[in-house]
Amino acid sequence: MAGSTGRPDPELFRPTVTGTPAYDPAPWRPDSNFYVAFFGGIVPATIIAFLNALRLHAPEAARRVLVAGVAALALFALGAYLIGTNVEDAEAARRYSRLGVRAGGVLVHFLFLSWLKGPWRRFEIVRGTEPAPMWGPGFGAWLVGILVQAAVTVALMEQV
Amino acid sequence: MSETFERLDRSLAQARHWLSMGRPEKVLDALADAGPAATTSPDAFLLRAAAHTQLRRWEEARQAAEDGLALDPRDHRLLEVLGIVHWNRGDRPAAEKAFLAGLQSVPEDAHLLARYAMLVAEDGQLDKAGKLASKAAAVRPQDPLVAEVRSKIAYLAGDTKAAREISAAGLAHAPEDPHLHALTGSYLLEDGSIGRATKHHLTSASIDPGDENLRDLGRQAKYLRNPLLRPMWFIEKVGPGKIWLAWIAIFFGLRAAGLVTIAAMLSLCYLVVVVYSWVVPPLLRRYYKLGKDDL
Repeated sequence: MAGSTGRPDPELFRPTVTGTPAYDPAPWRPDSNFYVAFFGGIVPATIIAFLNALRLHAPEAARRVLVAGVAALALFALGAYLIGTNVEDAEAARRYSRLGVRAGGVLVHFLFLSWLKGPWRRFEIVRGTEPAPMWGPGFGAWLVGILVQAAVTVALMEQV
Repeated sequence: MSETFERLDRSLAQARHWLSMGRPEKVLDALADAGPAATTSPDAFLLRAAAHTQLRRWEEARQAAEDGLALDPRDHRLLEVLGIVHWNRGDRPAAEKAFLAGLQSVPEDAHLLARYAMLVAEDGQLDKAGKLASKAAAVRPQDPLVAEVRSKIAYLAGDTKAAREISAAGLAHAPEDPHLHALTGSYLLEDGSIGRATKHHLTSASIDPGDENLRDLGRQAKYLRNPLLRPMWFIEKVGPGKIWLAWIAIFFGLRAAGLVTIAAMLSLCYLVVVVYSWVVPPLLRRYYKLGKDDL
């Protein structure tokens, strides 16, 4: 027979579909992390992007997010140390530090966004569930982030 | 008696014509004229179920498919529609049951194989999905639905290059297939080729105006092609992150060079672009009745 696929494979025709959604828990819209990154900085942006990568079934992206997030935090700590050693005006030092948190957060956000674009597109094809709202986790990550970043800033600035 | 069947045949022919034109309401009108003989014809139930499916009336579609299956429980076409209906209602195990029952009747039906492949792919079983899609391709290598499913599975598996190639090859064989236009457009949109992407999306919506998803794509394409949104094409193509980085680099570069006034003017321009990108797209989305998830 033309186009015959040969003997049927019984394994292929065994029911295997589960009733659970393909994405459970549902991922967050990666764009929304911008607000967390802008107001919270590197740490919350990394937390949200890392968890979102896991939700999007992208362990490789999650690993990259974690490595980049830690590297960015280390850079931020170095920056805070340098500000502490070079800027005498305490108010100016705090202002630079806040600017660093914000700029660093937005920078890493765009980096994470480029890594999560593909997995998010795949989610959009499969769907089966709506994206989860980011309000609660975003606020939680923001809270953790500002505490960690404040601790790093104070520790390094006070030391000098 | 023969007049009754002639009337049924005429109605079925009309209904098939309207279904292929993407006019499901006309399909139902034609079937209403078929007379009592329609209740004994699996084909009439198939067309009714397909029309309700196009109209996204899942309960009516399920009822029509099940009524048809009461006449012929092994009709693989009715089982395919029933599977699609269950799938769209979110009951994937029931969809699988229907597709497998259809495949038991006709194990080498390319459409059933392709649909079942996509269902298991959505369930995360990409290996099995790939095997089923290959089987479908072996039966009907140039079928548009098979090409669409193979492309989507390749994409889900992370092989975006193969996904684009399969979609392009499918479109070369079936240039009038709306779903392949839609898929090709979505890939181009991802590459930032908004002009070409929206052309494909508009074509897909015009080929099958009865399909609600394709109509949505057409509306999105019109939104993207609105002249007010043209400035955003560049930002989309380059990426807002890169533009932000470039602005920071240029701003601090100019300041370091002592060109503070130019740096301030540049900042103002950048601010205008940012405000424009925050204000205009949401207003246009509202104008085109698009939700936040639509793009």
